[in-house]
This record gives sequence, structure tokens and C-alpha cells, in this order.
Amino acid sequence: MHIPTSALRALRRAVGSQNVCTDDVSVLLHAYDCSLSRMRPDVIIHITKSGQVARVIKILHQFHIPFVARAGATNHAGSCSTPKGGAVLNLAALTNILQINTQEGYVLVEPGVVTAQLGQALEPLGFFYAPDPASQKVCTLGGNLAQNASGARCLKYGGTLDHVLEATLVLPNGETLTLSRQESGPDWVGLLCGSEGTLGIVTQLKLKILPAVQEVRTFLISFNTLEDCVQTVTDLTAQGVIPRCMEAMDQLTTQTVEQMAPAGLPVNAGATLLLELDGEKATLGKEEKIVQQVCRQNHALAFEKAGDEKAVKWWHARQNAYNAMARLAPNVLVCDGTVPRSELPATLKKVRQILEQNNITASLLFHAGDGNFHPQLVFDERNSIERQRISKVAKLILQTCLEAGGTVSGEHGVGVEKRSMLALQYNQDTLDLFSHIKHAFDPENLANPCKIIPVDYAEKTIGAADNKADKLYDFQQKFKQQLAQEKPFFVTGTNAVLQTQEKNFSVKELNEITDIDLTNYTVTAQAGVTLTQLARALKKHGVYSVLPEGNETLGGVFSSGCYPAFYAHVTGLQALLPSGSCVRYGGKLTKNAAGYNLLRLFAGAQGTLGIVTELTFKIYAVKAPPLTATAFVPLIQNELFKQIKKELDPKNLLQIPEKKVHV
Amino acid sequence: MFNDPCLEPLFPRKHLSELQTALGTKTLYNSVCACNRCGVCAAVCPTYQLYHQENFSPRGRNQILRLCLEGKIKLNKKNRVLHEALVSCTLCGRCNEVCAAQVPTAQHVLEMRRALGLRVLPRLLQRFLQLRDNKPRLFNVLARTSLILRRLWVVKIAWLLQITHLPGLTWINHLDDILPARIIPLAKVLANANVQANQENPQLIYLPSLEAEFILPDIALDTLRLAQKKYRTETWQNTTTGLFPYVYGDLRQSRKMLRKLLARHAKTGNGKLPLLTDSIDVYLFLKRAPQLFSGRKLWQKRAQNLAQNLLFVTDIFPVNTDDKTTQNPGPVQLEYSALFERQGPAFEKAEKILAILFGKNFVKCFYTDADTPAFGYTFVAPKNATRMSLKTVEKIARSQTKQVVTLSGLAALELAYALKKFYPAAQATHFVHVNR
Repeated sequence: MHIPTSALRALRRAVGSQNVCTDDVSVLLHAYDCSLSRMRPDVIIHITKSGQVARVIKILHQFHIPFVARAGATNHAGSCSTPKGGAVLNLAALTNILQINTQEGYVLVEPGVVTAQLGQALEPLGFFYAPDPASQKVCTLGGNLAQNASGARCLKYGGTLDHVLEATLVLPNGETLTLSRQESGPDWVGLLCGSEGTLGIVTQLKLKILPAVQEVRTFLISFNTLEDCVQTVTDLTAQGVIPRCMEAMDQLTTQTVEQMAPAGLPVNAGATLLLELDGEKATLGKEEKIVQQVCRQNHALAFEKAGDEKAVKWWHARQNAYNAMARLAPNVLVCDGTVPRSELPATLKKVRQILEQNNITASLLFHAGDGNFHPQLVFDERNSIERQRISKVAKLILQTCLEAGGTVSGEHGVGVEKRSMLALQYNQDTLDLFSHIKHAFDPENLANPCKIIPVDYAEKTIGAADNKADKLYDFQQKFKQQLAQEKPFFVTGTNAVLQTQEKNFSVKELNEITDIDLTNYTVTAQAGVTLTQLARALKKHGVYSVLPEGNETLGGVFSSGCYPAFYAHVTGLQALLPSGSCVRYGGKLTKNAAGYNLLRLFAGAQGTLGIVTELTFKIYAVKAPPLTATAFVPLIQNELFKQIKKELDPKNLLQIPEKKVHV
Repeated sequence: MFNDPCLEPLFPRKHLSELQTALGTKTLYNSVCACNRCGVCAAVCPTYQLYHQENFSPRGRNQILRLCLEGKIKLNKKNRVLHEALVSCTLCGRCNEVCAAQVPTAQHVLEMRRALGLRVLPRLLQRFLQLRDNKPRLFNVLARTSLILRRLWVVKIAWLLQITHLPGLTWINHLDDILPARIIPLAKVLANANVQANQENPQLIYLPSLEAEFILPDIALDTLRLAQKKYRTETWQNTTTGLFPYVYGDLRQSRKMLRKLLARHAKTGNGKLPLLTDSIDVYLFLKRAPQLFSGRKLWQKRAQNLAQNLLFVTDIFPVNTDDKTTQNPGPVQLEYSALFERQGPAFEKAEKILAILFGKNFVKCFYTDADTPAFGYTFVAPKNATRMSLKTVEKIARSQTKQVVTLSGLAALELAYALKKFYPAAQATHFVHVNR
């Protein structure tokens, strides 16, 4: 695209002429990331102070120039490529750690801070930042937020999403907003996580930090089969042991790694599990015994505990899986797919079959705890036939994930490379909602365009067949009738006391617990189920949720904003929009980085953006102290809310409650 | 399978036809295409850490070469961005160390510099140093004359008259700053210490580096003392290796110098004598020497023979657990400043020896810690070099290190100057002086 001279002049005034580059070399050096895509931008803007971002975006908005933010550019899905050309904003120089507050447990950072550098800064203070993406030595915290990055420690500590407290966002029109999780209303910060820079550019982050763990114990366990390995993980969860890492490799990968740099990995085992426990010494002893016992039950071939040196060697061996592949051929495509943990053995077998059928060398690593796996495919990108074959195989692997109820991305994001696959993962209504979100934030489609949302998806999506005998179907019809009256109403739970009955639309008839899954440790229940009903049903199976008992409905708990800590436990959702359409997101997945995080859009939205009809969330084998409710705060209608409300509910039918009505 | 494009097909001898990489011999194109663009190298690259721009990252430099080979970027000497990206590289090889595919970015940068004919040292300094290769006698005379003039305060007067502030002459000030106040000729130093440079029936050849021969004769003295404890030694003074033209000049010139050295080595003791050097830069260059002669079997064989018989001062350093220093010297660090790589047997041996000698006082460095830029970088990009040296001093001060051990005399000179300026509590010394 042509960048007008006046725009360049304005940009040079804003950031200095040496920081605006249009020459061939600079432009071509910003045309790639770690993915297969190469797309040429038109201008590179090096940002040196965070205050420059808003000024630059205002200029780009004024001249309708699309822009993409970039720092480490370690992305595997082409999220920082520029299909429409335009500007690349290089934020890598924003490397200041502005504040470390160990008393309140947070840090204030700029987006260009490298993840590992934050860790180094916190270590002497006795604190750590939990998300640990594999590329943490070079990836930046801004990029982590954009991709909702996570790593080996995700199972216990969660991903970036769970550690961002506040974000300063520059919207695509140049306006600056500070979004905080303390404010009532949808979890905007959560929505930003994994949005791949399509909703704006973050210039400052407030992140949660944790006190350093007392002790870490590392174990290397080998199994005959993948099934035994995954069963061990399930059994450990059942016993209430949540290790901080559970990294696994299949036999072929172990053999390749051992050939390159022997580290004492068991080459004859069907699966090798690298497990780490952390915590206080007293608890660790108990947990270690349980791990040992569970491994024995599941026919573990060997169980070895490491000293410090050996642990480093094993972790090095795990990292060597990538190095081994990188030395076999010029390029390595790191795929990323996630399935419910129970589906992991079958999916991995299918993936191996696909690789063998297509004669592709690959290692297969997986985070056994959360069903996330990374086949690393070796190829030479200079060979177009090989490249096409690799792309085809990568798609086949992702299709296998989808068939197993999984997602096309657990932590790498969608970018340009996987966006066509989203049409196979979500129905049209869900993708429409993604488009609405994007349009609300960025009506001119300037921020990182052509990402996430598939092109012409209406023709490609596979619409879910309506089950007319289903309670949800009846409820949807009733909701449509209500909408047809075009009279404003409140969404309520079972116990709402309202002045006028006409203004009330209750979810109380949705009172079924549809699934309690003791393999993946999830429960799926409809929005009208009360907390007491839920607790009783779970107790029968010897499991617990983090919610207290009471008369409140599940939908109310999720939407009212009174239980913000509950959001981290929710993994899937079904909701009806003010248009009458039905959206589905997530499922029994611990990780999902495909598309906008709809869980966080509806969480705390107080029923104003749609009706949550069904939720899937985590359950536990051990009873933990239940969450306590915070006071109800009426929703704050900030600019973002108004825009989204206008997109989803232009007639303003779903009213904003002034008091807690959705209990 | 693929056509292997060359940077300058009309001048193949100006370039290495094959690179000797950690994963075997590769053509330039195959070597650069092994970069998977993962970007891990940026975390350790000293220039990327200064600028945070892709142009200054190893990944960016590799992509520039690839795009040049594929004809997507034209090699143009006047292209400022291209020039900056290539000249700014310190050739330290840290990127190679962390790279999963062991891509030799420093070698790639040198190839591009050769294609562009980049003159990276100040012209006068380059001409002066070239004399050592072409006209060693004249170089000796000029070097001594310059030192006499320096002792006569000529440089200070030139500085006062602002002559050395003129473009192209500013390097003189820096050179004056880093050089020791008084430089004693090597012959005199050896005579005073009653050390013979050449012994009969030699078992080892000592090849003093430029700095050991002309600036820091103590390095040559201590190296000879160490060597002569075990071997009868012959010293090859006024012998060039071809390292200078390899980095800053013409590869053909470098090959010529190297051939002279190889021929002399082949003649002396049937080419079986070990060759000792006191400079890590020379050591690493000679280890890579065979790649300069791909396709020329005789010379390649000789270069391989030399590489096999090459010794660094760490190889002859007598050390056992009893040698542990009884005095408490305070924290000691090893400085990894070198050309082409920051890991390998020489570094490991140095670490081991220091760990034995200083025990807990030996402070290990982190992989991202800064190093002093090596081999003349301060004259190539003085601003970058100052910022990098400051970061190095910061690292040293953070651990309250008292002594920093370098593996080359030039690095010791640069670091000693930076320490004197910003952290005088620490001192920089060459490895051979450690147990003096």
C-alpha cells in the first residue's frame, strides 16, 4: 500500500526521522517471524518511548494505515505478518521494568521486557513470574499478552491470562484506556489476552508475581505406553496432586534426543514423563509418595528422582528435542494443538500415523497435564513441494485435534496460518461474534488486520445440527420470542425479585448438570443450576468445585462479577446473543488460544451482552476452601462496553441491572 | 537440490566457497538457510541489546545475506542500513552459541562485508596495520617511531591542538588511552628476565600475537616461561597469521599470509611441532584455517595439521589442586571476549583452571552477560563499543569482582581502560599472568 508523504512526515515528527524506515532492507527484515509467512510491510516505526505509541496510532488512524505491533517476533502462527502491508510498530525497545512491588505482589512493566529478564530481576527479591513460554529468553511480555502465552508451568499456575492485573491499551483510533480487573463489567483484560494485537496496542502492564517456591523436586518416569502416562496424570489429579510441570515425549523423540546428546533418557520406553513438584518441604514429601504410588499403579518402567545437576541435564534434554530437529533440516515447523487430556493418547497415535504416511520426520512433545502437544516437523522451506506437504500435514494434525474436541491452538495463537482452521472449530454465530468484537474495538480494521477471523467463513463453517428435543433449543426459541417483542428486559436467575414481571427473563428452567467428567476433571452444567444442586451432584462422585453452596445460579455466579476468581476455573461456555444466535467456546480444554476469549467477555457482563446458558469448568478431587463473593457493583459503561453493546444489542433489549438480579 | 547462489560469482576467490560449521562443511547458501528465524540469538547479541532493532540482530543479518543471495536485496555499498547492520556486528559468535542449528552468523557477516568491500577500520589505521603483513620491516620502524613520538607527548599536543579531533583521526586518542604508559621492547624484556626466545631442537613453536610482540611484552615473557617449563621452544617473531586481512581486509591476502605460515610450519619439524598462541582470536582463527583452502588439498591438509597441533596458553598451564591460591584475591571472573565463538575447549579449560585456582572466588558468568568487544571493534564502532564496555563493567561491578581474566591481550587492554575509568577496584589481566 502507498504511504502518503504527509503521513511519513507526521510520523517522523512524532518519533524522529531515524526511527521511521521505508528502505528495502528494513522493510524486508520485518516481513517475517518464526512462522512460514512472509509479508512485506511498507513502513517500520521504531518506538523508543511508550508515550509515542498513542501519537503514532493517531497518525496511522488519520491516514487509514493498517498497523502491526511487533517485539521479539518469535511467533509460530504469523501473528506479526502484514498481509495488508502498512506499518510495523517495533516495541522491542520498551524494556523498562517500571516498578516491582513485592508487598502487594505486582510489577509494572513495558511491553518490550523479555520474559526471562523479568524473572532475573525478581529472583534476588525472592519472587517469580509464573508463565514460562519455551521462548522466554527472547519473547516479550507484550507478545505474551497478545498470544496468551504459557509454558510448562501452566497446569499449576496458569498462563499469561491469569497473571495480568491491569493493561494500558491504545485503541486503534489512538485513544488510551487503562483496563483493570478491579473494575466491574466484562473482563476486558482477559479479552485482550490472546487477541494478537487486533484490538489495540498495550503500552504498559501490571502483572501478578508470586513468592519463590521453597523447593523443587524433579522426577523422570518412563512408561510402556502413552495411555499409562496420561492415566498417571489423571490419577495424580484425582489424588489432588498438581505438579508444576508434566512434560512428556514419545519414544521416537526420546531416541532422537539421546542420539544427539545423551542425557540418560530411557530410549526403550513408550513415553517419558518429566515431572516437577514444588512447594513447602512438608507437603512435597507427601506428594512425592503419592506420585511414586500412582506411577507404580500405572506400570511405570522406571522412576528416578534428580539432584540439581541431573534436573538441569534432563531439562536440557527436553529442550534438545527442538535442537535435534533444527540440525536435521533447515526448517522446523512447531505445531500446536490441544485436546481434552483423555483424548491425548489416541490423538498422538493418529498424529504419528499422519507423519508416517506423509514420510515426515518430527519430534513429538506434549504437556501431559493439559493435553497440549507440539509436533516439530522438519523440512526445507526452499523446496515448494515439501513446504506444501508440511502445510497440508499441519492442517491434518489440527483437524485431528478438532475431531477429538480440541482446539487448533493451545498457546501459539491463530495468526494468518491457522485462521482458515477456525472455520472448522467454531460455528458461524461464534465467528460472527468474533467479527463483532473486532469491529467494536476497531471499526476501520486497522489493528493487525486479516488475523484470527477466517475469510468468507460463512461458506466454510459446519453448522451444528439443532437438536429440537434439547432443553437449550426450547430455551433459545423462547428467547427469540422475547426478543421479537422488542421490549427491554433483565436476564435473571431463579431468585430475582423484580418490580415488574414483564421485564424479567429467567434462566431457571436450564437446571441440568449435563456431564461430570472424572478423566478430565470437568463438569458441564446449565446456567440455572443452583450452587447447592451442583455441590450435591459433585459430592456423589467424590469431587468438588471451588464454588460455595447456596441458592445462587451458576449463570449468576459467572455473570454478576461477584466471583472474579471463578473465571480462571471456567473452560467452556455456551451463550445466546441478543440476536438470538447461539455461540459456543472452549470445552474440556485447559488451554485455548484460538480466537477471542469469549469466556472473559461474558464473565461479569451481568447479562447485558447475552445469556450464558451452559458452563464447563474444572473440578477437583480435594476440597479447597470455597470462593467468597464480593459485593455487587453495577456495571461501568466505559467506551468499550458501549461499542460492544452497540454491536451486539443495538436495540438495547438486554438491560443493565442496577442491583443484583441474576442470582 | 538447489542452485547455490554466490555473492560475487565473478570473484569466487574473494570469498570462502564453503564454511566450516559446527554441523559440518556447508555452502554459504545452505549455511544461511539453516536459520529458522526463531530469534533466540537476539537475546545474546550485544548490538541487538543496544538498539532493539531487527537490523542489528543476528537473525536480521542472516536474513540480509539470504535475501542478497536470492537477489531480493541489491548489494550496495552506499546503502546506509545495510552498512550499519554489517559493520555493527562484533563477530563475537554468541549467536552461534545459543542457536539450535549452530548458524555461524559471524562468518556470514564477514562474507557480506567482503562482497561489499566495506572498510570498517579508520583508513589510516588500516593502512598502518596492513604494513605488518606486507612490509613488516617498515611496520617495525613506524611502530617504534610512533611509540617514541608518543613518549615525547606528540599525541597529547595533537589532542590539545585538536588535530586528533579531525574525522578519521579520532582513533589516535583512543589508542593513546588504552596503551600502557611505557612500552618496553620484547627483546629487552626477555633479556632482562634472562629468557631465551629460541632454544635448540625445539619441541614447540611459540607464535606471539601482535599485542604480545609490540605492546604487552609481559604476555610473551610469561607465555615463554610457561612453555619452557615443559618444552624447548622456538619463537616466531614478526610472523603474521592472516587474521587481520581475514577480518578487515581481503581474503586472498589472508590466504597468502596463511600459506606462508603453513609452509614454515610444514618445514619445521616435519610439520609435527605444536604451535602455541597467547591470543584466543588467533587460536580460533587458526582452528578454522582449513575452510580457507576448500578445493586445495595440499593447503587444506597442512591447515588441518596446524589446527590439530594448535595449542592455547590454557593447554600448557600447569595446574593441579595443590595450586590453589592461598591469598584471597577477592572475586575473579573470566572475560569471554573473542572472535567467532564464546564456547569450546579453550574456554572450558580456562574456566576449569580458574575454578581450581580460585575456588569459590571464581564467579561464573551468565550467558547474557556482556563482554568487551573483541579485536579492534572500538575503532570500528566506538559509540557501540563504549556502551558495551559500560555494560561489561556493570557486570563486573555487580559481583564486586577484583580481577578479570582475559584470553587475549587486546581484550585486556580495552577492559583495563574501561575499568580504570568506571570501576578502578577491578583489574584486567591476561590469563598467562594469573599465577605469576
